[in-house]
This record gives sequence, C-alpha cells and structure tokens, in this order.
Amino acid sequence: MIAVLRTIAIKEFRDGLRNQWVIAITAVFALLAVGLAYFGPAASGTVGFASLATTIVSLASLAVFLIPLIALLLAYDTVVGEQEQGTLLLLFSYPIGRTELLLGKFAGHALIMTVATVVGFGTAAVLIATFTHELGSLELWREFGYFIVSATLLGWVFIAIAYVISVSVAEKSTAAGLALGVWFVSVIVFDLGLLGVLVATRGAVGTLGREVFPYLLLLNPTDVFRVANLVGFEPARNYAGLVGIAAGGALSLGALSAALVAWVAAPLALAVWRFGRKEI
Amino acid sequence: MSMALSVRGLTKTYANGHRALKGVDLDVAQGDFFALLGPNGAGKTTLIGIISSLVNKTSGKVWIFGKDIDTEFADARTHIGLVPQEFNFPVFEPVIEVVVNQAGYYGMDRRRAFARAETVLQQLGLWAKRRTTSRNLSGGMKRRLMIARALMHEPDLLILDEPTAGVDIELRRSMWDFLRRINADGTTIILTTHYLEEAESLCRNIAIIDEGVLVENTGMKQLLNRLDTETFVLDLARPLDAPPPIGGHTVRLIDETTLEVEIHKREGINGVFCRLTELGIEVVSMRNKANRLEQLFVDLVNGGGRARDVR
Repeated sequence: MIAVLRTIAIKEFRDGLRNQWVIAITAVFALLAVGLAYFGPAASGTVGFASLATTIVSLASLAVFLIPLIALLLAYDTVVGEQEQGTLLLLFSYPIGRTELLLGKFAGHALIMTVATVVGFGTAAVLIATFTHELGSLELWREFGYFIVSATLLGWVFIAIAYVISVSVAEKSTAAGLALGVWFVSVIVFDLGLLGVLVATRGAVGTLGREVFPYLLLLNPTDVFRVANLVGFEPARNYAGLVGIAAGGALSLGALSAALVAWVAAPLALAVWRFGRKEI
Repeated sequence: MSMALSVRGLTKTYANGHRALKGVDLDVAQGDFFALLGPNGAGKTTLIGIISSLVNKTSGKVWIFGKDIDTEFADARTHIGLVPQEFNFPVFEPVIEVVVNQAGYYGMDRRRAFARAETVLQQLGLWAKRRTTSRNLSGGMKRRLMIARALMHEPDLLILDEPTAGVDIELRRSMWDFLRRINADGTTIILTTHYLEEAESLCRNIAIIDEGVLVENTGMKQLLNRLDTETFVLDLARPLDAPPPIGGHTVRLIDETTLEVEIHKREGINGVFCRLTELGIEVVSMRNKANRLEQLFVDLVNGGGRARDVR
C-alpha cells in the first residue's frame, strides 16, 4: 500500500513541477511577502522593510484570500478531471483502492502546497529578517514558523474541500464554479453574514454573542487561520476586524491549531467516503 | 488444464439498452496465444473491458487465474497487463516515468521498478529514448511504450487490443517476434486484431464474436482445415482478352494480365499449370489471393455481410 501511495503522490508532485504550479505558487508567496514587507509602511509616507511582526499580520490578512484560491484551483479537477479524460477508469483497472488513490493524490498536492509555502514565505522571511536585523530573534522566528505551518494547513484544508467538490460532480466546469463559490463564501460572505447577524441582534451581543461568537468563527477555516495568526500580535487586533475580537478571547493557539487539523481531516474523510460510493 | 481466463454467462447491457454481450462463455488456457476476433461493434472491446475491470458487467462471472474479479479483484488485476487500442499514457511524462509509475501502481518499489524498466525498455528498443517525453515519440514507439507499460509488473496474462493498428509492416513483424518470445517464456496472450493474417500467424486458438455472441471458439488449425477452396492470383506475361478455359476450376480475369483461379483443396495446383502451358499462357508470378482466415471470418460472421469491416 505504501509503494502505491508513494507512486501516486510522487506523480502528482512531479505533475505540479512539470506544469509550473510549484514554481508559480512559490514565486507568488515570496513576492507577496517581500512586497508587503517593503511597501507595507507606505501609508505612513515611507517605504522599506518593516518589522517581521507587522509583516506577519499583513501577510495573514492577504494569505487568507490567496491560499484558499490557489489550493482550490490546484485540486478542484483531481477526480472529475481524470474522469472526463477517461484516465480514472484506467487507474481503476490497476489494483489500486479508491481510498489509496485519493490519499495518494492528497499527499502529492499537500506536498506542493507545503514546498511552496515553506520555500516562498521562508525565503521572504530570511530576506526581511536580514534587512531588519532581526535574524537572531527567536520569538519572531517562532511566530513566522507558526504562520508558515498554519498557512500550509490552510492550503491543505482547501485541497481537501476541493476534493469533496471534485468527487461530487460529473463535470469539470461544475467543479470550477463550485470551487470559486466556496472561496467567495469562506473569504467574504461568511464574515459579512456573521457581522450582519451581530448587528441585527445587537441586544444579544453583550450576553450570548460574546460567548458564542469566537466559536462561530471556527466554522470557517479562513477565520481560524486569521485568528490563530493574531493571537500572538495584540496591537494588530484593532485592525483585524471581526476576528480581532475573537483573537483576544477564549480560543487558544492549541485549540485553533486543532481546529485547522480537524478542517483538513473532516473534508478529506468526506471526500474519501463519497469517492467510495461514486458511480464512474 | 489450468485456465488463465474463464468467463461464464457474461452479459452486458448498456444504459441505452444496447446488449453488447449476450451470455458469453470462454476459456483461455495458461500459456495460450489466443485470438479474439469480430467485426466492429461485435462486443470485443466490451468483453476485454469487463475482463480488465474497465467496464461493469450486467451479469456473469469472470476468473483470472482462478481469481474472481468481483471478490478477489486486487489479485485478479495483478495478473493482467492491458494494452488498450488508444494511447492513454501521460503525454508530458518521459518514457521512464511512464513505466516506473505503472510499476508503482502495482506496488513495486521504485528501485525494483527502475531495474525492471531497463529490462523491458531494452527488449522493446526504447531504452535510448527513456528520457524523451512520450508525446515526442513516433507512432510505432508509442505502441511499443504501451506494451512496455503493460509488462512492467510482469503480468501472467497480456491482453492486446489491436496492438499493431497503424504500424508499418517492419515494426509489426518485430512486434510479432517479441510477442512470440514472451509467449514462449510463459505469458498467456489474448490478441484482438483486424489484421487477420496477424491472428493466423501468431495464435494457436481463436474465438470469433459477433453481435455479443461467440460464433466460434476452436483451435486455429481446426478452423483453417474447414476451408474447402483457396484462390490464387496469377500474373501473366502477356495480356488476355478473356478468361482461359481451365476445366473444373472457376477462373476470373481481373485485368488483362491478372488471372484469379479457385482451386479445391482435394486437387493439386499442377493441373492448372499444365493446362495454362497447353494454352500457351506464361505465368510470371503467383500469390495466395486472400488470407485464409479472412475467408472463414467472412463466412462465419453473417455470411459475409460484414466483410467491409475487415481490413
């Protein structure tokens, strides 16, 4: 089973290398991080590398849009694309189980996101730390390390969600539409909806809302990621909108990390389950 | 005798109501070189699709080396190597990756897979092209890559669906030699082809399927022995105006220097030449008109009505 999983994962990763996904995502992440760090202070009338802490908060806000989109685009056609090409049937004629196939593909896609995140953001971090003379700051490396880990997990979450879409539809175009819909809801509509509910029920904010609100954010993986990256940066919470409230609240870094892992596991399990019952 | 493939009561009805297979029973012995023939749309590809788990059957049972494809599917699939008609490898992958990945799908670790790849690619004359992207191979090389890929996990049963379609004669013959060699080494081979001389030359046993039913399943020799007549084409040194009278034989003048003579198996060909010599007709060359199997095939399949489907 391991040899089969490894073969599928390596093939998926090599496909990512061959069609330039890995390089493109890595470059986007590195440019984004360096650009944000350099041009971030422009509002105050100057440019140049700001501190790593400020950069991480800005990055978290931007990565929340970019990483889910990239992950969804990377993986939305994983199953339905192969089905349309006819190669899925061929794979089924080999002694490969459906679970093995999906997990192998997930490992390959997850590796693409991991390499891109670690290399892209990591390179930028080294560059920024060098210019800001913070190379020796262990605390900042810990924070940036967590940012990279959580960004990777966020990518995995949306790969798993893309799999659920990919095993549930019959056409690639439908999968693409649904993937964009999921992205739009999770990065924009969910927060707006939550804000609307809070405003509409302002009488309850002081009692029920204040306790329930942080947990409602757990329903959206992008908010979990944002909150997790704000927990360690108190001054930035004021600028972080809704999630800033939750970041100062009851959710610990451990709980938020566990929530992200659960957000990877649950859709992946759902995708495996649905794939096992799919008529090809 | 141990069977490489056993099929019992196999039926397939597609969603549109088309009955592609109507209760097929078939046995292929271990070590056999077996031809599965039939006109277009007869059910060959459906039958191969079910055997190799590409198509779901409606009813019936299939065993590969005694393994039920329903209950022991992983074991059953491990025994099969399939060479489909269409190229279906990833075109942007180098040759070596295509074959090594294939081995990995069957659980072979990469070190062993690379060693096996070298052997198979050497045998098929593709080793020098191992780093070439698959889409840059010639048509013949792509055909050989399909065979190499199917052989990577050392299958006991190799199924080839028209492996030489569109391949030039030189390459076709080298592929025949290769297939004969691996069959002699113990691999059971099932071949579908439209080139009937290919089936006649390679296969020991034959099944002919038409409209979802096996209309023949016998030894190649037994089948060919059923032929009563053979037709010869004679190229003449000088033109003729009309077919010459050769007693007891049907003679046709195809063009002014080409004569077609039908000869019964019981009679020798010498009599024809004696008579032609008496008439002063000089023959410069002679060949068998049609492949013998082709004649039988046409007879068996709808009384010749589908001859147009056979190349």
